[in-house]
Amino acid sequence: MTPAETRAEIERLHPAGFAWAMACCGRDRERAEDVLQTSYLKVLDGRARFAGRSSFQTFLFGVIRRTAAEERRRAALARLFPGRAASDDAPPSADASLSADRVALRAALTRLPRRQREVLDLVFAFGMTVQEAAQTLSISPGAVSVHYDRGKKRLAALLRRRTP
Amino acid sequence: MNNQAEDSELERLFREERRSAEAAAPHADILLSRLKRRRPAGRPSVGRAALVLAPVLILAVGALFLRSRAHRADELPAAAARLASWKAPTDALLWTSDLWKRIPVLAPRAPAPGLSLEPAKGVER
Repeated sequence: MTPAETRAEIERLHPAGFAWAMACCGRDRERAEDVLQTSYLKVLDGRARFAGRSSFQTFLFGVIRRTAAEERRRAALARLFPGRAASDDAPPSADASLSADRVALRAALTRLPRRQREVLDLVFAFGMTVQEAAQTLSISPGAVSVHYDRGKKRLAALLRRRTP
Repeated sequence: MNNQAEDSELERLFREERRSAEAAAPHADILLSRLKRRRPAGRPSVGRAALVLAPVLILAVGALFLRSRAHRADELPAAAARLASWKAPTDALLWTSDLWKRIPVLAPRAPAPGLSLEPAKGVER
């Protein structure tokens, strides 16, 4: 894949990439932009190399997920040293225009383990298959199935509890 | 609500979330053009700091190791000499060479009063 082709692919997948970065960063827009930028940088300067074993989207989503995890670790480290990167602790801003069921979904998602949340996002929001989700998360398809099943059951139960 | 309806409801909610995030995405060109400006001004990462510090640490540890080794080498002859000349307080008890040169002489035992040393049993007089 030439650099021009890589750039074109990135541009094509950019909206979906941003949505995935938002999901990986707890809907924090500023953090999601940072993560996305760093991910693009990794892909464009060759630190993350696309080997063609999966689709480019799967590869890019994997890079975004790993970058978000690094960012989280960095933020956790910064919390250990007060005075360093205080903005990392800022909670995501609440969106007043959200419908009640989306507010409920976001609240329920925060109560799920990260892996389950990621699997549900990839499958429901991005329409990925179990195989694709497994490649994105670098885990086995069996593990994805387990996370999907448990996550869906728990999410449905949490949402049911909220509806009268 | 059956499973299928539940699935489609979840899918609808997740898709809505995705659509709203996609609609709010910054333009790709803006994000990509920021990369060039960001690269030189990027905050030094922990990895980069580790890369810089690792050789310094290795050199410092190496210097300390060599210094302590040289120090030990200076001390070694004196310590060895002290060890070689050291004698245990009970060293004299270990000298047994006399035992092999002569038969030990036992002091004659004085007979008890009233006892004869002559054999009395089984002897015809």
